[in-house]
Amino acid sequence: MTENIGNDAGEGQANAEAEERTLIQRTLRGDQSAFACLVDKFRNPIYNLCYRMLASGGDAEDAAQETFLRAYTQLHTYQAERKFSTWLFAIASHLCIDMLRRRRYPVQPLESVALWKQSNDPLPEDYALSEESSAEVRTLLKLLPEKYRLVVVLRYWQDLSYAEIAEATDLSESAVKTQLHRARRMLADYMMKRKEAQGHAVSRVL
Amino acid sequence: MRCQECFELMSLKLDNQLTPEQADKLDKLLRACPHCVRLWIALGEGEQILQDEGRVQVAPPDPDAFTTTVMRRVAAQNYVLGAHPERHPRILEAASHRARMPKFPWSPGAMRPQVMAWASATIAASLAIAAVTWLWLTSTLNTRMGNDAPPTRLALLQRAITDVGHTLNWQLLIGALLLAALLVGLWLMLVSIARRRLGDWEATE
Repeated sequence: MTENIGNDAGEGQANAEAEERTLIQRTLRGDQSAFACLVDKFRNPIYNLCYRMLASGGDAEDAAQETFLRAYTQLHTYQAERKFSTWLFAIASHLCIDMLRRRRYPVQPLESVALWKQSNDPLPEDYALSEESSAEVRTLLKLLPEKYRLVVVLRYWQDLSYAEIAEATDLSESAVKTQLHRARRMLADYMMKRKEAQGHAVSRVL
Repeated sequence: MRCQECFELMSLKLDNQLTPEQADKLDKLLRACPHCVRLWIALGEGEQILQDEGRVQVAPPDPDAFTTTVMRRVAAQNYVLGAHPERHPRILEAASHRARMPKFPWSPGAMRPQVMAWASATIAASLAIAAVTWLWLTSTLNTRMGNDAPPTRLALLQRAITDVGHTLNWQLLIGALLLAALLVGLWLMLVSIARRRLGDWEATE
């Protein structure tokens, strides 16, 4: 449409942010259709975050809707210098952690999972985007305590920087870093345990 | 001890935050420790899964329905932005639930304010007229008692009323009726005024 087809990503982002600001202003003036545009724009990342945190489509839908409802009623507290998406992520994160605490999953011990997933595991090379790996990653995420899971999801699924994760979780950047390291460590331990179990299985067969 | 240090370096490497000296150190540590190498491989595998899987974004099953539901809930809250910063969304949600409940057709809340004003005025007026009539009948009766003139139709009616009246405390009953009529009328009027105010407030939203 416009002449400058070759405009860089930075400019596109600036445009998007300007549009966001306009929509927020319009919503604050009482225009609900403007808020509908914001929901359209952010429903996917918010739903995605909730889905990864709660591992259930129904709960994810509830949490995502509640996020937007809260965003609407608290919109006057939003500070324009923050990124709107980060602000939404912060609301969604709080809600998901709340829901998880109310749900109180019994924590699965690492060993039981490792033994349960002994056979038919694809080799690391096959981990493309198969169903298998989705189930795998769900298992992995469930192993992590809520706080670590949140940081991992924000880092890998929402592609946020440490600074943005810190803002969304009310943590310091170094705390974010520590939690991410611990989460990685837990996942690595799980991978090693599983491999050991596999090794035993193979040696028994041979 | 060294393995912990090694792990920290590995984690930094995953974030591409290693200085050249730290990279050298990690290299040396990895050469010396097979356990650390295994950990490094496992970390790499975990990282690979997360990065691959992180590209898979899940969307709501029905995206348009999602937005519609959110907006319906937003509208159901009757929330004027910025007007009630102290109200908590949970309370609003409860309120919207109440608003959606079907109303009993004859409850004051379900009537239109004008209808209610007329209805209340009519009830109050008819009750008042009835009460005054009773008072008048019973009081004129007392003044005509003992008259020798043949009883008129009115007098007969009055006598019939007093015959019943002797067994009841009419004055007290009428007083109570009047008071009740007044209270009911007043209450209905107040509610109707409040509802009209509320209607105006909703209309300006």
